Amino acid sequence: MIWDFVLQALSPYILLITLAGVSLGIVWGAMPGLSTTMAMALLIGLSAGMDQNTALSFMLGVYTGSVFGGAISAVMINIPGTPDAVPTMIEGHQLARRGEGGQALGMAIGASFIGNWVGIILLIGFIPLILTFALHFRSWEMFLLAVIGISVSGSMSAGSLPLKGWIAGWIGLLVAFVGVDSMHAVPRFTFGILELQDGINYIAVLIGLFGLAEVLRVLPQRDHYTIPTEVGRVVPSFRMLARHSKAAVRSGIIGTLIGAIPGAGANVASFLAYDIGRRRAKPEEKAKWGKGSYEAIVSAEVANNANIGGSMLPMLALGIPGNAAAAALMAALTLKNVVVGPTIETDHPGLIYFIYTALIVANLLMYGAAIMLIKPCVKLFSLPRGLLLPLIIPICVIGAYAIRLSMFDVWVMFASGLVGYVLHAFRFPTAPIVLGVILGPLADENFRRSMYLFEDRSIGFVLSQYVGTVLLIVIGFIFIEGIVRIRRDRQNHQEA
Amino acid sequence: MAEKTQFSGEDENAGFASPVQDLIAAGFLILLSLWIMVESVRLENPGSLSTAPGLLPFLTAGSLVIMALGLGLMALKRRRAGETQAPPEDAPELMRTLMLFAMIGAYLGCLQLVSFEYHLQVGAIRLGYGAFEVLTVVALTVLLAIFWRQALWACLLVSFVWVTFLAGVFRYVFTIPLPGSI
Repeated sequence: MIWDFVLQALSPYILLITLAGVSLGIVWGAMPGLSTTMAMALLIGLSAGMDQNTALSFMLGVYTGSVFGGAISAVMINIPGTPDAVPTMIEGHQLARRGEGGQALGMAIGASFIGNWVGIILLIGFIPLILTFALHFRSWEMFLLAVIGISVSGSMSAGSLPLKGWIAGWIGLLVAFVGVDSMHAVPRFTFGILELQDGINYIAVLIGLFGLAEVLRVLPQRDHYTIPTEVGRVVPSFRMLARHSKAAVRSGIIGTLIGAIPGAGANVASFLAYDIGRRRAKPEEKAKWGKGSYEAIVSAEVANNANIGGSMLPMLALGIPGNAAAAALMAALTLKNVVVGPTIETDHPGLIYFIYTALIVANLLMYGAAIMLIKPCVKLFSLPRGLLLPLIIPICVIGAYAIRLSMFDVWVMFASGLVGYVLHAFRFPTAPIVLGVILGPLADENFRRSMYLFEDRSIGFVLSQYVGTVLLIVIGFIFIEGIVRIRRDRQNHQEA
Repeated sequence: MAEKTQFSGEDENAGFASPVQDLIAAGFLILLSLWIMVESVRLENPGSLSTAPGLLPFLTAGSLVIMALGLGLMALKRRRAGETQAPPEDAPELMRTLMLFAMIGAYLGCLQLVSFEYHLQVGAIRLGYGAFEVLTVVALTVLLAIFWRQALWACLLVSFVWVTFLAGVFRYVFTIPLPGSI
């Protein structure tokens, strides 16, 4: 049976669709201001018309391609295509100015390829372990897990002020409560509006927060970026990569682990791996950091690509997306009636093997497509934002409309775009909102189910649910760590 | 000397805004949460208190009040300490943003209200061109004329080609109906 799924992922049609996804992802990621999450959110609409496996391969292709794509503009025009490409920009652009742009991009391609492999291998290795453990989770534990997901996402999104991340997550939870409740069928916060009875669709929210909000923020700005010089020959040198293999393995593990933490995505992974890499580098290599170091590019690119596999670990095993891009992938799966989580193996037998294969295929195709697409991408940089960003608006509209063929969802997307813009202006992170909206129904249903089970029971009985008690301690730790961090940052700020 | 590390969050923009902005946010969140708490209590409850439909919304809004109070108190302290500005960021182009927002709103309003579709028979294929295509070409042309600032014919050409391509992909490749189509 496993081979059936592996072979399906290798069928010519799915290979072609994956290649299309990878290519779209690379071009999208390479465009300054267009993030991986935005690509994923907007292309959900396109995947809606595909069958389950095709949609999954397409979205995985987009995910893999767009994470790498950010490196192209980072190296060539000193503007990161995606935020996680900032370390690559610091090092790669210095190399490009010395005429080593092609080699720097070649190194980024090789590092991304290796990073994806590390992420995939760790994903395949750890999923059975987590699934076995997760099957013992009952409603109380599932509720606490959802709260952990939202809280950690808040903590990780807003580095200096986790409070704003938690607030954003809680807003997401409140949005998720709108609609007819699953236990008693009581309409909640619907105010007589028929469309609200089905709840607020989180794909529309996702498209608004990451698509339209970005257009509203970036399009009115008047600045322009420069057109790049020649790329040179793109040479992904594995001999050079082998020289930095230690940094690659270390960064791969960092990237995967960070990816597995809800809310912590490729940005945290690449910065952390870059920072640790600098500390661990040999003195002669350390001297090159900030002035154009190949080892630094390897550290950052391996980490942000390994993050893909990592972000899928909690998503597939627990139903909790590792970051906003994984949340978009989960949304695409939901459109196909695929519910991920502890029971994925029983509900959708074999699907997990298809996902592994599709990820491997996407990685292999990314390697080839990246080399082919770098030069056309560089040409695309000459397109001004004033031309590029308005073209995204109809994609936002179709993407939101395609979910349920409802104009109401388009308005939800529009409102979410405005909310996203305002939240950005007030310096709130937006990723925890998405996690809150996605995990809200899971939290609500399991909370009330567990409350029903705990009715007339003592606190001692609740605490005797050991896994739940451990999760409660984890929640306490997350909040205490966040509060300590706020105080420390305030102190540092005042001292400064 | 040990190097000092600064934790960088996933969203680089997230953090302290100006104290006034944080106070406004805190005030708004407190009012919103209190309203949700009242609405949660007013919800019908067919079962016991522990399974009440409004229980988790009430608790969530309650904890949001506490968080908003924390944000407000921090903002007050920062204001008293003489802090007035948020860390520097690109100044937003407020008027242009408002104009863009209003234009997108108007475009969506038209999509909501207008619905038609013309068909062209080319051999065995029936090609449709409806309200979505027409309204989007118009809206996109206007947006491009304002933000791209090129000749009107160039804006119209780009809009027409892009919208026709997009609509074609969704209509005929993925067979997804478009808004405004009958």
